[in-house]
Amino acid sequence: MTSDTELEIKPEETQEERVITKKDLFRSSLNLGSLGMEFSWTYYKQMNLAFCLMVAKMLRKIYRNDEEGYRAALERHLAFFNITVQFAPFVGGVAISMEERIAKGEIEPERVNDVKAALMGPLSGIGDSIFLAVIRVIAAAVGIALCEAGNPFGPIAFLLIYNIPGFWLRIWGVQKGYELGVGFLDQAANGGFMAKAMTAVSIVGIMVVGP
Amino acid sequence: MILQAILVGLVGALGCFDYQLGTLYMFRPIVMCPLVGLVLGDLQTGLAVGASLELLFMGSISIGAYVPPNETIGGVLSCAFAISLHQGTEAAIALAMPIAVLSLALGNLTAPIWPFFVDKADTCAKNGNLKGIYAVHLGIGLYGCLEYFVLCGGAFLLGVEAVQGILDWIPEFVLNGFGVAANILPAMGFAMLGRLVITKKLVPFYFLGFVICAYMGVPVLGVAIIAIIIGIEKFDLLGGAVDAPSTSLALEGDDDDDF
Repeated sequence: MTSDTELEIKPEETQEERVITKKDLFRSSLNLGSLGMEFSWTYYKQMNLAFCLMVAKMLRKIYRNDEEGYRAALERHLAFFNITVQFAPFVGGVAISMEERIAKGEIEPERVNDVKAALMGPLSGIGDSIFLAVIRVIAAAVGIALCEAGNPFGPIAFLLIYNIPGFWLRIWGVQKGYELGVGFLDQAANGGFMAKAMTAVSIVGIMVVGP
Repeated sequence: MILQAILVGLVGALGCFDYQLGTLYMFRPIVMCPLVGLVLGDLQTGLAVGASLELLFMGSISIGAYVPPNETIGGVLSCAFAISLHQGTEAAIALAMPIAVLSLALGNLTAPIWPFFVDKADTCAKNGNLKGIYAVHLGIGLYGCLEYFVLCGGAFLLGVEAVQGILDWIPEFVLNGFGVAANILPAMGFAMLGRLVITKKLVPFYFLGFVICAYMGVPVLGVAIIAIIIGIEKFDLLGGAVDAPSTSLALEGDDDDDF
């Protein structure tokens, strides 16, 4: 593998220097792909196009010397994807931190889509119940009350209440996802902690989709 | 009249473009109707209709893969008709749901062609053509905006009689069928979500969540909190029982030593 031999030439890059900066991550959480998760939604692969566009720039950076790897990574992230939109940058952060290790040959490329698929269900269950069942209803209740009183601030209040938590989650989520992906995911995987945490998250997801 | 139709169409298109702006929920009647009121010069009616329709469509949200009746087109058109005919909120409510269900059906007409374009994106990725993927993304989305523009503007131009005529002309069983389909779709949305998440180990928790909600009347957030507590407790995520591995699950017992 070409990326492996490069690593041996520049070993300092393996430990400390990371290609992806906080700024890259921040930008990805508010780019055309991240915000347009449902713009190109299809029954077929749902949010796959938008997810790929969200991480594309960072993939370019990771595989800047490896055109083949870049193309394969683009194709990899065009797999089926669906999630509560506000959680998408979090998954993007996890995926990017895994891609960095895939580029070094430390993880099998297929693993990244396994992890994405494992995160989709539980995070959608939690996300839909927080955003759609709770925050949206509160926002609508406030907005409707203002509208009924003939106050034009009603729709604005609705949008602000619904979206401020969502944008916060996007911006915070992408950093957190990246950190978790780099530090926590791999160390925890050895101890089986990850499997347990994922099952615990799955329990939350499965219990809230029932109602 | 034509200018008004274009403006109403643009409000509808903005509702669709909201999906590119981060799904701000601008496409809900509570935002769409006041905007329609603004462009038709009657903000107060817009606000009142928006409030009523938002309540009507409260449960109509996209969960999992379920696609609800189109509250955007339903909201925009019924509000536009209510204002232009100087009718009240009731007229808007009566029109909104049939228009919304019909719009969902019309939107689904184009659904079968999208897989072809989505697969085109795969080919673009193989060739490293990122612009091609952007083109597919924007193409699918902007087509949606155009569809909303034409449906909202066109139907407004045709007038309320024509739209009512179309709704009357459609045999009742078809509209009823749409209604039944709209009620079945949530189950399908759940089934698709379930295919991703459910494993044998998790099935009991699915029914536990169902029981807590159905028999004890706990709202979804309450169920979520209970589920988080169960998750923490079952897998000892807070690490309280590190010194007593014998109490841990037999299943995962070998892993516990690492902590």
